[in-house]
Amino acid sequence: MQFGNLAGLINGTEQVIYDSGDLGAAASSLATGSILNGDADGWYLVIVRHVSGATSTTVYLQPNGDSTSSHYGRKGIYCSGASAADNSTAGTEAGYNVGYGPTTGDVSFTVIRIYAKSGTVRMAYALGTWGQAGSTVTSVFPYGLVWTDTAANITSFTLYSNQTNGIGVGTRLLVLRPTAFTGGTSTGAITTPYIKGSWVRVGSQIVSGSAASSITFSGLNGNTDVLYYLHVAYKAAGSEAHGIRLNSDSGDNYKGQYVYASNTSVAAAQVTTGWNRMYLRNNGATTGHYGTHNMMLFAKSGYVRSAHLTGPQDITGTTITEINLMGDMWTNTADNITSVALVDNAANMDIGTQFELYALRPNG
Amino acid sequence: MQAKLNPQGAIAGDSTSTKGKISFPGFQKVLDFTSAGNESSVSCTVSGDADKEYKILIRNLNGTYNIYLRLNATSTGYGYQSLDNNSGSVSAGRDNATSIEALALTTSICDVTLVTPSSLLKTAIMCSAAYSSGTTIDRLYWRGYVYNSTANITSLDFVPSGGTFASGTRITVLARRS
Repeated sequence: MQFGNLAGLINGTEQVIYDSGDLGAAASSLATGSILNGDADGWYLVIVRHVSGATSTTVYLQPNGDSTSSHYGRKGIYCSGASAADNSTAGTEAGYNVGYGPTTGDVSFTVIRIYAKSGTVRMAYALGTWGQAGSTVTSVFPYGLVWTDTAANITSFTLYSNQTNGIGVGTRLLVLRPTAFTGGTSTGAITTPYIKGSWVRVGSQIVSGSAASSITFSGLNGNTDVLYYLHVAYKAAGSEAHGIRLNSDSGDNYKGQYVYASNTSVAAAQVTTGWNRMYLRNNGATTGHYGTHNMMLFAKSGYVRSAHLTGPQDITGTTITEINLMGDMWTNTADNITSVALVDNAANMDIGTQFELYALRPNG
Repeated sequence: MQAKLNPQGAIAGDSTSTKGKISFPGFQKVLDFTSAGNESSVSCTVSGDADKEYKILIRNLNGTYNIYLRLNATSTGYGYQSLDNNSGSVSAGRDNATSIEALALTTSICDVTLVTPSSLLKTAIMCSAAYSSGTTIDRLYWRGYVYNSTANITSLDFVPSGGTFASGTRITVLARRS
């Protein structure tokens, strides 16, 4: 049986259970309400696009609204400018730290994975890119987090600001959970192209015939899709320097902060000029080498479009030349994203290179 | 109407049934394992060429042993490049003769994106944060892995580095199914 789009709880998927929408008024806190059951759900994926409503704003995600600073800790590698350094706290923060805006209007984009089941401390892993404004991406930041409460069932999350009205207009909070729905009425087999609130593939292309210089997905609607997840697996036919270009914009409108590790070296840098795409790596891959990228992009217009991406690069045999982590930004705030292209300097994306695009579409 | 649907189509006691089976091009749960404390491994049968990517989520409650991920039950042919924060010291390293495909540190949360494209090498990017005590996380490991093979991946095998999984350890795998 072929169905159109489906909405509802689908066992075995990960679906949006809460979506604040783009906030229309600044707030000091934003709560999901008691809609969660951490003991039953297990894992949560929380996506925060924070628009700072005040200067020096830090935003926290609080399980059950717990603001007790002695309950939280984190350890990360904070990468800003040329620095990649330890950034850790223990017992000093009012929640899981999920963003920082030094100036009003700054954008942060953080994705946090939480294991919510009680019985032990609640740990989380987060990847953020913070302080995006003008031509600057201030940081990219992988980090681990802990909430020391071992007993309480998590029934809600609260996004909390340390500044009055620090959660600015445009902020958006989404919570996804794995669905284990066992009720309802049995059906026949069903095939559907799309389920509301789930990551669903909207395109897949594999280079064949000859090496390519670009791969494009067009006919998109970023304002409806809201979030994209991009996956690239490449083989280099020559020196590569590929990146993501939005709406065919080849202007100097892409900025970033990156860090990479190569053997025992660590290097970081901020890019404020000279990019005509979101580069997926900071230097060229060698002919015949492999690599992969995974990227999450907040696509909805109204603010700069934030992304972070990561992946092992320039691989031959069992040697990975480097791993890259990048926080990126497209400075265009107005245009609806209608195309996403993987673009190389030359036709050096070899046969077998794969590019896939997923959309979340929280509103169906 | 709320229908009873499941991407794998399996109904308890009737694994061959297509009743309630739903097909869609997205991430679907293919393994959700919670340890009783006596298992020395857990495996998941897959087809990497078709799926291309897996999201692997691990909460390791064992304070002594890491958890390894091995592909096709193979323990050789792997390499990694790391960027770690170990008790406040940030460092990088590489190993191209390791027998470990990926690992969840002791008492950690671990997030792995495993990419298994047809005809290309298999790679993973992994982050593991390990808990110490109180409000202290003592280690953050961020690593890229490669498995030097273009063969189809047919199994994901999770193995403690010693003994058995700790009771309550959770391993969840989401596959990109089309």
